[in-house]
Amino acid sequence: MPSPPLSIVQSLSPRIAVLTSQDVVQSCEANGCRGLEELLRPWEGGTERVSILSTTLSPTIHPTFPVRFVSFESVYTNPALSAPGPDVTVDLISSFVGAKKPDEEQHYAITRSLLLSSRPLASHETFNHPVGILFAVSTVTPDPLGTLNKLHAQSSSSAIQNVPWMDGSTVLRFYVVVHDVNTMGDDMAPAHELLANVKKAYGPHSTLLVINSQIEHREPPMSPDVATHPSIPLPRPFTPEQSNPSALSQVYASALSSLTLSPMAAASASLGESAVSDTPFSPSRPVRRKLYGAKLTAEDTQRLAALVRELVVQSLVPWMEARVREWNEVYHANRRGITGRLFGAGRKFFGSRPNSPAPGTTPTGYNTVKGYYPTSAVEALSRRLADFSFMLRDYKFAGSVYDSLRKDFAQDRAWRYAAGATEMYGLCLLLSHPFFLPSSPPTKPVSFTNLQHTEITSWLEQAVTAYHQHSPITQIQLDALRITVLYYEAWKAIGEWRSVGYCLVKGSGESDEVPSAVMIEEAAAADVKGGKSQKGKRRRAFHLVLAARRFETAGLKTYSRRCLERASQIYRDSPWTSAQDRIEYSLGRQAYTLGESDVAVEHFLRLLRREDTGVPGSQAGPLQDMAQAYEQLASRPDLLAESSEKLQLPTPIFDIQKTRIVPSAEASTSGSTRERWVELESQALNTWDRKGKRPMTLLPDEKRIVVGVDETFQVELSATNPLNAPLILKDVTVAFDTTENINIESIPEITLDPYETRTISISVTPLSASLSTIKLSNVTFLFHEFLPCTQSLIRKGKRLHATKAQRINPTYAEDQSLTVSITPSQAGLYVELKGIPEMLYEGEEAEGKVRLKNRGKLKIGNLGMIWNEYGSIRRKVDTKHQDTSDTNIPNIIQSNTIQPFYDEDIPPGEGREIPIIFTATKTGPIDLLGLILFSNPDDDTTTTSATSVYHHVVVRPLLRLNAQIRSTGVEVQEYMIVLETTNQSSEVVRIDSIDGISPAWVIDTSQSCETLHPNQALRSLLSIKYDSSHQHDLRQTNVIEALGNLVKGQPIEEVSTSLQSDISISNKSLTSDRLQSYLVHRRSNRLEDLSAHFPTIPPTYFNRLFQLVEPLHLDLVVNYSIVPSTSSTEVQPRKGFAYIHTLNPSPSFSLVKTLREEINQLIISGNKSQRTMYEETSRLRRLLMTSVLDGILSKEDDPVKVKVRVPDANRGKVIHDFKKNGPKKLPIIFEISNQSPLLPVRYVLNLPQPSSLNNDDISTPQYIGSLVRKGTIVPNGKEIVKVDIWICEPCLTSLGGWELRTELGELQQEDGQWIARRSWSRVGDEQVLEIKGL
Amino acid sequence: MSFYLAIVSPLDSPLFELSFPSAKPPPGSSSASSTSSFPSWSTFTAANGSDLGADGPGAKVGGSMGLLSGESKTGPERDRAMCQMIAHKSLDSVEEMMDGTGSLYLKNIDRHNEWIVSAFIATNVKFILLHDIKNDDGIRLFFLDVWESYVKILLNPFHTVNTPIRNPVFESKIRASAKRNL
Repeated sequence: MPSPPLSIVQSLSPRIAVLTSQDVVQSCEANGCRGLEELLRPWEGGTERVSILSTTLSPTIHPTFPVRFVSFESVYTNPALSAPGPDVTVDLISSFVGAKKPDEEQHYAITRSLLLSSRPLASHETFNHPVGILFAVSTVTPDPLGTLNKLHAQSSSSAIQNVPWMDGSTVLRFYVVVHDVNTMGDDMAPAHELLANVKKAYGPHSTLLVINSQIEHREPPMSPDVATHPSIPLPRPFTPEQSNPSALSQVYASALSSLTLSPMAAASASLGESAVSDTPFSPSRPVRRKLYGAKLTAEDTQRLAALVRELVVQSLVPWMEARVREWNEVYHANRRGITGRLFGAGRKFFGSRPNSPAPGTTPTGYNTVKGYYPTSAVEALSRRLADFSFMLRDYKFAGSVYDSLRKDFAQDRAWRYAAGATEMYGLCLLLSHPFFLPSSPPTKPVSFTNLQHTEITSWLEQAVTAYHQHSPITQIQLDALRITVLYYEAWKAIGEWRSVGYCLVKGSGESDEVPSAVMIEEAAAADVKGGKSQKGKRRRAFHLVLAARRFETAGLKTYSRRCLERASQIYRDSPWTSAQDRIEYSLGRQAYTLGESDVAVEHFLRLLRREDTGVPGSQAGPLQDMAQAYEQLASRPDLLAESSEKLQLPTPIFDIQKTRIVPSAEASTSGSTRERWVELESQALNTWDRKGKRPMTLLPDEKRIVVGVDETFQVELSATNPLNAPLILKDVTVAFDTTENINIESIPEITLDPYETRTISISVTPLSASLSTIKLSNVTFLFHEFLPCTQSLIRKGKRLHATKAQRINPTYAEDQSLTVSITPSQAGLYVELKGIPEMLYEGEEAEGKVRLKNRGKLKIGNLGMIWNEYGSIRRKVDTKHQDTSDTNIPNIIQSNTIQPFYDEDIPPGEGREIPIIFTATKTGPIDLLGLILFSNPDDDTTTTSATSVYHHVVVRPLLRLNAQIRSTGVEVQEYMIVLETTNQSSEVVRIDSIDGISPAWVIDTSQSCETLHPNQALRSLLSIKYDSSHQHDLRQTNVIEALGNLVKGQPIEEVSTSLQSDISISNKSLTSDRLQSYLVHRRSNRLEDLSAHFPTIPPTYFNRLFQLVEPLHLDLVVNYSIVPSTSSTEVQPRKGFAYIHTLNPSPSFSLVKTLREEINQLIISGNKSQRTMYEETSRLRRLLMTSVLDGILSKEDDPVKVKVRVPDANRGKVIHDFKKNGPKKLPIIFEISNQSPLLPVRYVLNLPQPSSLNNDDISTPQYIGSLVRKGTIVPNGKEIVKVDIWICEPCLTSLGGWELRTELGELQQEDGQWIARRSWSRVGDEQVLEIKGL
Repeated sequence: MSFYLAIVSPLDSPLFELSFPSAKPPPGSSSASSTSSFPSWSTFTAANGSDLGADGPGAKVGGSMGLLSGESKTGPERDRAMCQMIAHKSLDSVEEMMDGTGSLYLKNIDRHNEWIVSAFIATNVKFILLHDIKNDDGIRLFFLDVWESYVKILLNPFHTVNTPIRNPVFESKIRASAKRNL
């Protein structure tokens, strides 16, 4: 049956003071009770089904009606006995709560009981004021009526009452005659007689109580329960069948030890009064067993319960109803008066109080000095009226009275009264909820509307605020707490959770005492109730943190930790890092102070995760704390062993993805340049000419790391400091899946700056090949010098998607990148390139060394090398000067092949240094990749192995060369070259000499010694001459034939030129060193040219189709040295060569003339047209045909040069005495030279007719003789044509206007027929000749 | 006189946090009214050092643990933890309020001691502002500015609603707006 929660009703129930004669006390003490009130205590709440009339005179049956029996002294003479002071209460609560374990969940119940029952006798409310007095005399008393008289007088004398604001006289008086069977026997007659007397004297409110009916001695029960019970179900009286001394004693023990029912006992125990020291209420002390109810029988208990019921139903409730009605009249009368104040003048004129006293004698208003209303004041009366109707559960009426009181009190500035009325008003509103009506069925309550709820909350808030306002902040406000608890209980009953947590927090105020901590924790619990499941979790976390802090300040560490742990579970889900860290830190610190260093270390560890937003260096503190905690933990090996698995770093230090295994001292052949290595490898394998078997591969397998026994390799780890404080890693080492026969280095100590990432190399040496593979499994280290950590380095491979099962469950391939294969010792060569600077200039020759070391166990020899840049590295030959007799140079475009590198053998363990020369052929960054091949010279069957070398060079431009060729005009094939050399660099360059290299041209070498500063230019003149004695095939018939086959459709694989292996050059003074350099440059330039001109021919076939040097080509070499900036002589001067390639002084002629005709013939005849399947193929073929037939090889230049001369002229003037000698016949010479080195030229020279259209100034010459001259000029030949002009008077004459038609052709060998190739025509320029008469 | 702004993702993680002081002097009336019901309540941290009780009576048990007794936490760090907790807790109130109102700006939805919490519901993230004086209009304008900046961040196709914002331009914009409005 619903009703207001028992805790509310109980704590606000009517209080009845018990005043007894001494012999009654003695009878009670026989039962272990200190008075009649204690004997009645178990039964005081047991009154059921009480019918109460409300102010509207409607009777309501309430399920229970508890009352509180207290001793007379505690109410009247010594109120401090009934309720301990606030400080004592707080201490009591903390000691009781502290004695319980958090898991028992008793902290709130204890706090609630103690708070509610420690309500002091206060002026601003009347709940603790006595409602009635129970007088008891015993039949044992010698003069029972006299004693009763005395007792009555004692109660009614006002002197005994030591507080002025309590109305101790307007109370119900109830009289009990106690008959102690144990002392007086079974005879009830004297008792009834006495009762009749008492009734006669004191009226009907009197009854008889028979106790101690148990006469014979009973065995004490085995184990009386003496523990403290915060709340127990109210006992029912025993029926005779149930009579059980043990149960009876237990009922008494629990009732007397119950904090709800008898708070005073607990308080007294704690106060240390000797009189009550035997009561079992100190939480820590062991208590004496005590037997209760030894003399009581089951009938006695029924009689006791009946007494209480009689008292309540027959006397108390009717009396209170009567008082309510009576006071209601007064209240209404005054209320009219009070409202009348609004219209009238002063309050005393309207004070139509029943006993309106004269002003000054007894003050009726608020006593502002002492802070109370006198009992006669209407406000005090009204308050009592309201409290009475509250106790009678007429909440609506009580609420209206409280409401008006609230306003009046506020007007009088009686803040405590006002707060009390306010809180009760709110509570009345709350308890008016239909759920609390006894008639309503016990269903799920309908909640308040928002508005109602807000109103109730606001009343509570107002009252709480008022309490907090009028006291220091840190002092605890028990009043506020009490009322909050009452509200909370009511809310709990109706299932109202909206903003309950907030009110609880508010009510608990600011003080750091246990009660407020308990309340806040309760608030946290209230947060998550009601509403959806996840709602309020965050608020709960916050309240838990607050509660934890208060618990800790109050000294209850266990509760504090529990709160923090619960909070941290919520915060751990969400990345509010700062709050999270704070909680973890506190938890860790608390655990440490409690000696649980393993938990402490665990908490501190959680703080050490990566967080970017923190204050720099803030993680240093936890790190140090953790070190201390761990030190303590380490001193307890059992704990350490248990917790070691849990101690994992939150952020891993080492990046698994960046972990690599690097075979020692070898340049890596993986990564982005892998394709170039593969290309180099295929070049080496394609041109294999070594002894022994050709290996399948030369490069180390990218996927598989192979290491020989006793060879050291490196494990590269990438360590990152996740903290914002410096971190020390100690004893870093790695572990493989096996520990046998591996020698692993350990790095003693590394200090990482905040957030630093560093690569750590650990050397590992396998000692035996008994295991074929070892796999890297983990890395171990001491985190910050103390915490041993192990991080797994096992990597997952690619995600597999092959089967359905793999797609459903993520399956990964095995990763091989951290697996090392160990082979028995193999031949090994260590190669290092030394002495080549990082930066070079174009054409510079740098001398360096290749350092070789045999690190294997076997002798090696037959060393060869191959580089991806052909010829850029060559062995430095001993500097003996080449004999000048050998002027032939290789004329084949060398393919990139394995070059012999070192002929001798290298025994195991020995090293060699081989001098080399590096030539920079082109500008830009050069990645120089090389393979040094070697094999065992003694054993032809061994395969060849290779070691890779890598070097990176940046080449910068130094000199810019620009050449212009001019004919000298003296001889047919004599030219001048104007070579302009510009220094593009910032170095000072000295030009030592300029050479020319050509098969067919002779260059006079100029030995200059000019110094070029940056941006300076040098212009030099070189004269060249055609060496007509050479034997070269100018037509390059072999090349053209091969190209012809190609064009005719032969597959390129089958076409090859029968190439001449060498060609003689005209320059005799080249040293072999310079020649080597020249060939390298020439080759790269030639390949470049060819690929530009023949885009359709794959570059790999150039060396089969073309020669390196064409006979008519001329290359110039500028021999330079860089002047060192410092004058020290020790520095080797840097030297080099700058080249200008493929100059051709003579006019070029088509080499493919005959081929073209042949092809044309074929096309016309149509029988050779090949059909292709794809458009692209035919396009490529057309392109090839164009590039061959119409490209560079088909270029025809006009080989003819004409020079017109007047032999008689002197500086353009001819002086003739016309008067004396008459007209002049002036001879003119046409020098026509054929510069073509191979082909003859036919010419026709047409001399012009004199023109009449000339202007007056310049006359046209009048040629005489044959006006058309013809002839043929042999290659390299010159023909002189002499003509005359006729001049009759001094004049200016122009020698231009002639027309020369030339035709290049050749005479066929067989029939001497002229085959024309191409013809040109030219007209002579205006060339003015002055003819002057004398 | 300080503010703390947090942008909270739908998964309750802070995307952006910023605490900044006020630019304007406190208007006397509003500050008085804001704290009228709690006149003497101290700030959460001022009364006895750190909130989590680093200087509680039992904290010295460790003896040698000098660092354990609270010196390691600097003031701003402590405040930040507090602000985070209040902001985190107020999300509950925001979600309660969200259902019942149509407006995006929820003013003074929650409070803890001197801190007042206002919120702004921008699509599915929430802006939570902790402030200690009442300045409804200023805060509303400030929120609108933040919203605008946030929408610009959101235009980035690589930005998801749960990506933390680490854009310095965004921060400077918000600081400028705070200077203007708060």
